[in-house]
Amino acid sequence: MISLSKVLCVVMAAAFVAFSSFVIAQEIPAREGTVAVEKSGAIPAPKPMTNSADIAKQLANPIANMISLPLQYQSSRGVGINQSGSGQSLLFQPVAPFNLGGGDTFILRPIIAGVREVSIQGPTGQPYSGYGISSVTIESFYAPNTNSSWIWGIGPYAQSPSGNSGRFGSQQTGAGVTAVVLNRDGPWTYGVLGFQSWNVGGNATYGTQNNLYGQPFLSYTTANGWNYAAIMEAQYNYDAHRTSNPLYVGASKVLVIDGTPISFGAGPIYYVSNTPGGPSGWGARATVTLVILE
Amino acid sequence: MKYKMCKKLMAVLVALCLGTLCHLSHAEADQPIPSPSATFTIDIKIYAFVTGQTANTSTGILTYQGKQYLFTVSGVGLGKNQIGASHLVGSGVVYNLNNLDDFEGSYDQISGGIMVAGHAKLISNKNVGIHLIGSTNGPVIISPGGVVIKFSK
Repeated sequence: MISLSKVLCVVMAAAFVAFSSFVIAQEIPAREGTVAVEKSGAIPAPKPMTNSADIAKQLANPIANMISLPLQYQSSRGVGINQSGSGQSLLFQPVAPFNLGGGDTFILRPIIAGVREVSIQGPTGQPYSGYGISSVTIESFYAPNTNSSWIWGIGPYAQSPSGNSGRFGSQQTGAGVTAVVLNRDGPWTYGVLGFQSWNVGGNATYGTQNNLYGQPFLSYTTANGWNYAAIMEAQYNYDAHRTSNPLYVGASKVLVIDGTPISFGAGPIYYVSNTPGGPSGWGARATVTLVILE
Repeated sequence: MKYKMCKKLMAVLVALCLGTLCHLSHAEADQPIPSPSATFTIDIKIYAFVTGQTANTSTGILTYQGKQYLFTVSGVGLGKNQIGASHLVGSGVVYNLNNLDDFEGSYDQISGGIMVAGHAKLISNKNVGIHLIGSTNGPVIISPGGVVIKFSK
C-alpha cells in the first residue's frame, strides 16, 4: 500500500510539472509560436542585444550607409580669351562616407574632371581643340553627429595640377580647407559648401590655385518626388581679382531601376560673371546620381 | 507515519493540479491562442537623398499553405529630415491569416522595435498579426499611415 502511494505521488508530481509548463507556455502564445518556428529553422532567432543606448547611437546617423556616385555633364559656351570656344566637362564626384562611431562620419569626395574643348584661345594665342583630364580634387569632411537636422563638416582640401599643357586649367597644386553646412527642413534643403585653396607650387602661367569658393544651394522637393534646386558656384581668384559665378537652376527626379535608386537631373546655367578665358553666358548641365547601400 | 505524509502530499498535489486546470481554462477564456498561419522573409532598403527625395525597395516572400507569394512593403522611412540609407533584413510569422488576401493591408506596430529590440509585433486593419524578427543598420520609422503590404503583381 505504501509503495503504491509513493508511485501515485510521483505520478501526480510529474503531472503537475507537465501542467505547469503547459500553462506557462500558453500565457505567451505569440512569442511561443514564434519560438517554435524559430526552433524549426524557418526563421532565425533574434540577435542578442548588447546595449540599447549604444545601438540607438549607432543607428542615429544613416549617412554612412549610403555611397553616392554622381556623374555630371556640363556644356559651356563663350570659353577662351576671345570667348569664341566651347567646352564640355564630365565630372565624376563620388561621395564616400565612413562611420567613425557614435554617429560621427568622415566623408571623402574625390572629383575627377574630364574636359573636351573646342576652338579655345588660350594665353598663348593659338586656338586649341582636344580633350583630357582637367584636374583631380579631393574634398573631405569630418561631420560630427549633431542630433539635429543641421549637418556640418570640415576637412582638408587638395587639387592636382591640370597637366603639362596648361590647356585644361591651372598647372599649380592647390591645398586648403573645405567645409559644408546644410539643413533639412521638411521639403527644403539649404546650405553652403565652400573651400579656401592656396597655391603650394607650380607654374602660374595658366592661372593660380589661390581661390575662395562658395556654393550656396537651395532645393525644394514636392510630394510626388520632384526636386527643384538653385545652386550658385562662385569662385574668386585672388590673383586675377575676378569671380566666376555660374548660377544653376534645375529639376531632378529619383527613379528606381532594377532595384537601384537613380536620380536624374537637368537644367540651364547662366554665368553671372566669369574669369578671363573661362566660360561665359548660357550653358547646360545634366546629372545622373546612382546610390549604393553599404 | 509515512503513509499519512504521502496522503497529505497527494492531497496538496491534487489541489495544485485542479488550480492549474482552472487557471488554464481562465487564461484560454481571456486570450485565444493563435497559431502561426504563415511565415515570411523581408528585405527592405530605404534611401533619403540630401535633396529630401526618398526611395524604397523591398522584397518580401510569404509562405502560406505551402505556396510562396511575393509582396512589397511601403510606409517606412528614415525619419524626418534624415539623410542616408537603412537596410532591414528580417523574417517572421503571421497570425490569424485565414484568407490569403487578408495579408494585404495597413499594419501598425503594437510592441517591440526592430531598431533596438530586434523584433516587432504589428497588427493589420484586418486583424492579421505579424511578428517580425530582424536587424537594421540604420533608422527605420513607420509612417503615420502605417506599414502597407501589397502583393507584387
